[in-house]
Amino acid sequence: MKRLLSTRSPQRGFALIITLALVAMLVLVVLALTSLVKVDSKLTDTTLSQTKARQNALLALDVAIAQLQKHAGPDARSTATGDAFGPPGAKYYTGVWDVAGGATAKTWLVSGSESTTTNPVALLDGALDPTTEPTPNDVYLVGDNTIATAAGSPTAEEKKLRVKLPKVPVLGEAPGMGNSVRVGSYAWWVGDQGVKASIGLRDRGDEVTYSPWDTVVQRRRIRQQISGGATYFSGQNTYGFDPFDTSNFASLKNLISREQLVGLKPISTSASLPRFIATHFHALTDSTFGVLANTKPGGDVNRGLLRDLSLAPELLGPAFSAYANYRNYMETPASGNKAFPSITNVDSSRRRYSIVLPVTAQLENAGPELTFSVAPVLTTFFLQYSFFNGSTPATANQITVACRLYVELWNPYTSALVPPDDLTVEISGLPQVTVGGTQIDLAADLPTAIAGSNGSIVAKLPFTAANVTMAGGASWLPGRLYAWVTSGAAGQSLEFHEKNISHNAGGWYYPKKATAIGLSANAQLSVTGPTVSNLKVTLRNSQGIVAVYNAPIYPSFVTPAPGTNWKFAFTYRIKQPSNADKDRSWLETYDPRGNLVPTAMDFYDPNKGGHSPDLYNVQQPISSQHLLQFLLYRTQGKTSVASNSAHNDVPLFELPRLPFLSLGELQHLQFKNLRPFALGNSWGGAANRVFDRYFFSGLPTTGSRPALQTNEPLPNWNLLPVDTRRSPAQPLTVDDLRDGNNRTSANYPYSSRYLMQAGAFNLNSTNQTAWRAVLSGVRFGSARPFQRAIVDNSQGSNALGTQRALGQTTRDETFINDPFSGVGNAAPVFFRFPQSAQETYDWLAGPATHSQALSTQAFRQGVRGNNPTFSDPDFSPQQLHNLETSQIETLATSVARLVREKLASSGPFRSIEEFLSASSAYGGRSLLEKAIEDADINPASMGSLVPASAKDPGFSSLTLTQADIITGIAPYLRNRTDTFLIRVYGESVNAVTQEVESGAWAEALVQRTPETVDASDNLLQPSLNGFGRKFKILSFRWLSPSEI
Amino acid sequence: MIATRKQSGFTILELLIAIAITLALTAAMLSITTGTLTIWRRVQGNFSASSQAKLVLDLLERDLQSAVRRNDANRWLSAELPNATFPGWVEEADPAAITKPVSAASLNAVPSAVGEGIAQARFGLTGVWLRFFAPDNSGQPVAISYRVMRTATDSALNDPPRNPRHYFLFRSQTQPAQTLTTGYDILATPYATAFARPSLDDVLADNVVDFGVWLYVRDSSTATGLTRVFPTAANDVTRYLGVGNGTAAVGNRFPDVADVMVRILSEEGVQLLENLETGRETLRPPSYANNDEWWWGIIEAHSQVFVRRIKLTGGLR
Repeated sequence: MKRLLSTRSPQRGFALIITLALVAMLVLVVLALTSLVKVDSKLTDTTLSQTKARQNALLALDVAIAQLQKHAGPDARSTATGDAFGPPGAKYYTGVWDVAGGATAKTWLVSGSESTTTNPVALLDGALDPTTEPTPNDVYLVGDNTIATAAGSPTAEEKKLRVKLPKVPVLGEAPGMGNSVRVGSYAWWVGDQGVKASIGLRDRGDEVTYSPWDTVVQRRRIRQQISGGATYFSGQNTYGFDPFDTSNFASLKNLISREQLVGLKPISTSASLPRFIATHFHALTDSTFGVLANTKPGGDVNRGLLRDLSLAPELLGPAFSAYANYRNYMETPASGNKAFPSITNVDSSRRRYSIVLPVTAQLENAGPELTFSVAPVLTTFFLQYSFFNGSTPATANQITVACRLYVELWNPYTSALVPPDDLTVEISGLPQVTVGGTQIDLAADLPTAIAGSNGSIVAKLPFTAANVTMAGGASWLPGRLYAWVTSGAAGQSLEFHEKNISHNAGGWYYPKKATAIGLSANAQLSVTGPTVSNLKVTLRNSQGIVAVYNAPIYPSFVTPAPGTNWKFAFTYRIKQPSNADKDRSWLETYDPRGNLVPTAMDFYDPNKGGHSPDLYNVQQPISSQHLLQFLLYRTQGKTSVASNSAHNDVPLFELPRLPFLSLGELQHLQFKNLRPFALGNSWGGAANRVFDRYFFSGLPTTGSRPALQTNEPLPNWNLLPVDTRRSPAQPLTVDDLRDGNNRTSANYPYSSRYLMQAGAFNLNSTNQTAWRAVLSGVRFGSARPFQRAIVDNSQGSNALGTQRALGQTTRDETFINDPFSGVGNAAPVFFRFPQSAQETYDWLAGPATHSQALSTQAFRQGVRGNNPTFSDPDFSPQQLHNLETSQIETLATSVARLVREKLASSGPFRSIEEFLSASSAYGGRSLLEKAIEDADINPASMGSLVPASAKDPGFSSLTLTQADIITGIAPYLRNRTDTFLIRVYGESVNAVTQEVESGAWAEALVQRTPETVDASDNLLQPSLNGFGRKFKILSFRWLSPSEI
Repeated sequence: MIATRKQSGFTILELLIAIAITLALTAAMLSITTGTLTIWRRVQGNFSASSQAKLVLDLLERDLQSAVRRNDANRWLSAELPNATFPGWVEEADPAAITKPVSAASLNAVPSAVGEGIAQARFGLTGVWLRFFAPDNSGQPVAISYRVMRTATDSALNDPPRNPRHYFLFRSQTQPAQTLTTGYDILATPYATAFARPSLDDVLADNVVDFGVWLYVRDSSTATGLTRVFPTAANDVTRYLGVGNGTAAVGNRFPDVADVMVRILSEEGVQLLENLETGRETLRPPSYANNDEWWWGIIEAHSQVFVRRIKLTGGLR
């Protein structure tokens, strides 16, 4: 046995060793190959699961865009967020409403809504609590890394900014498990970008270098007409960035995404801009874009794309066309211009306008009646008759008629007028009177010197008189009054006065009607007949009728027996505030430019209570000191009343000197039977429909500028050209916007086919921060001088006949120091006079004391002051006046709150007109007006009609109105959103274990465009039953978990 | 005892048989091992090439999918076939060395044969130089450049020992602040300067001997719905500029779709190419008519081409 072992072992061992070696080698090789295959397989599996996750994410994106297209593609849709509707988790859901539907949203754009069985209300109510961590069945689409830079430790407030959604299972087939196994999941969320403020816009006004903006001074008025873009920062609390900062101003030109905002220079080096941007994810973005279309429902002939009034002003009717054609009535600058100093260039802030006869037509040929004219306004009219019996200058047994006429005209505009040399006043419809039984026909018996046709008095209104010389270079300064009075004999022309008069007026005396006997002391004066009612005052020039003022119908009356002197008078004074009547609603009843004055023309009637006979039987139109407080009163220069003389110009209305860029500028239109500043304010009524039908591109109707091919901006620079042509042969040009300059083409007004509004803001936003940013868009440098033409009042202001006091300016100053970048003021400015703020002349030096100065200085400023107490330093001549930051904060808070309440009660605003209109919910005001009142921006006296002090300017340009706000932001306002941020999530799931293998997030910015989904659809008014206008992906990128 | 001795010894025959068996087994083992190693290397090479290609194509896809542009006159994208060396490109000093040829053999950007596509195309000496704007990892748009360059992994190229030259695919990008400052003309001087000579830090993949792109715009008049705008011909070396508001008529529309290809050498191919390009291998096989064909012959035998179609999603027109 032992031998056997010893002899057989070596043989076996050799084979064993070799075998083992071979096996080991083979095992090694197999192991190596297996490992390699395993690694490769694992990598392939990982790649596959990642691919599946991405595919599911892309599926979610497709579903989201499809839902968006289906519900928000048509024009007649409003959008808003879920802030006012659902639980906290739904705050940032985006809802879509059919404008023809009710208060309930048509859908909410989150995953789950694509199911045909999903109820929108249930979807909203089922929103997940964003402050808790997600379960395996839900996922954050907006998480801590998006809304808080201190990731991992979000604050309680930051947690509320999250968006968490349940996952939607993707079912598939798995071997042995059927075809309904969960193989993946997805989730999507559509964020409403339009409710955020676009703080990444750069004011491009300085790039508009073509006519008529071809000078710096001209183009810098653009910033007064339209907002330079939303802005949100605070130097005091050190957050945000100042777009005016020089480096930021340069960078903003190249900013095209929200993520780039962190690259700007913060307001303070100690402030974290990334954190600021992150925590304002739902409030601020770089820029949104809006289609220039309304949300009118089917059946409305005006539904569809907005029309461009810059190209086709005639759409608003002939009166508006005449108004918009300012070159036709604005004096052309040239050497030899009669103004002093001569106005030789377009930059002059002393540009003058010629009188234009009225053109009256309906707005849009169907709306309220609109009148355009450039004409002085009759502010005070006084026609007094005295009848003397035998006393000097009358002779015995004769009744002598003494006629005193006082006419006061006012330039109501913020620009100077060319003094007319052919102005006359015509007074017709004079009554018959009976004095002591003797009948006198005041019309038929006029002396030849003043007799016009048909028994009217006709008198010239010269700009020179014996005591006053209006030099040839003079201008009818903005807001200034001039007066004409009778001075003596009937043949003598009216005497010209540069201001109101406070001395006794002379009169025309003419002997009349011999009587058989002298009149007894008890004789009475009776004014009879229907002619009493027809008194009409007509202003004419050589071209025709400038204005007509009709007296109302008055009953006949008989005066008491005064003795030997019988008097009666017609008098008219424009309604205005004063200390006497405490009336601060003077512009709330009628437009002073209106020709018909139904109640203001008055005459002496002892039976009417409340009228002092003093007004009629004294020899001067005004005598009481309290009348000196009148805003429109300019007392004649006397030392004793000098303190009241220098600051009483009252410019109220603007005439254009540049093309309009904002519909809000049309608040200066004059509508029949509407109080002034109607358009844009709640009392505009049907006039406010224009906001849903039109826009201003500012495009010139001729020429090749702007050169779109080289990125030259439109005058309304925030309009972005977009080529919606299917197969363009050449890049889009300005001629394409004008439809090949074919004015007869139906497409001609529709430059909106190729334009989108950058910075579009959905007024259904409930975000206070966004509203504050939007309301802060019209800003200027904190130290920016605001200079105007100068009237040197240091000499001769109190003396008659001094040239400079009579309309000659001595200096012409403009925006000489108005850089587009630098240090900005955080608070905004709102302009009543965006085009002519520089033209409301400044007095270089006035009286040392001017207790009444403020009330009228306020009108000349033409801007909203920043101090509700109106202290004088706020009106230093070279400063713009902005709201305080706290005021705009309060205003924004009020607006956001009111919008939220409105949404909850009746859904979003269906139109801009609805937003601007009065509502019983706000006590007859609009939402914005209610917010202004709630914010207590205007002085309390504005509401109570009781002036707080004599300085209270009443309804002046210092009173912040809705239309003032709308002027700057109208181009941006929309009642829906066209830009949406979609976030999607997809994951792959192991079919057997149901474990998540891989997940992927992506983000896409999608944009609705003017282009229709159906190429054969009508671009102007897409089919009601189709998918509307096409959404396109602006940007797309995959997100890492660290970005969620 | 005798019997014991006989049993404990080996006959010559036994020894011979044993030696033969051992040799046979050894040969078999060697053969198996060699074969295994060859397979290993091939699999490894394929795996490496696939991994590199995945990395390259995934990045390209991410970048091109999210390429940004606006509807303006800026040049948002540039694609060109320089077919010439540029600063940083290293050629061999040895005249016997055979490197990538600058000849028609290397330039056939649009193969004409039926059934041939971008995978069969050759994009010149340096491949396509593709530049455009896309978001970086933080989401901020930056200028990005893709191009192939032949260089060494050590900047001291001429110091002994000689570093091997490789064909690298570079992906260079600027800083976000640069975009805010310079804007979106991809040919602007700061970008041209930044991309003129890629840094070794920007190497995306090794052994990429060719990189090509075909760009398309949507065109409903064609059967495929697409029209290729770059390159337009086999030897098209004209730079294509994707202008934000470009139109088809002027040939500068921003592309809607891109086909991209990368040709990646195997490890074996790398070695063979090294021998060829350093002059160690000078005996050209008779099957090749000239050195250019020889170079491409090695490449085509020892490389893989990876292709992907990418949709450029962003932008308004």
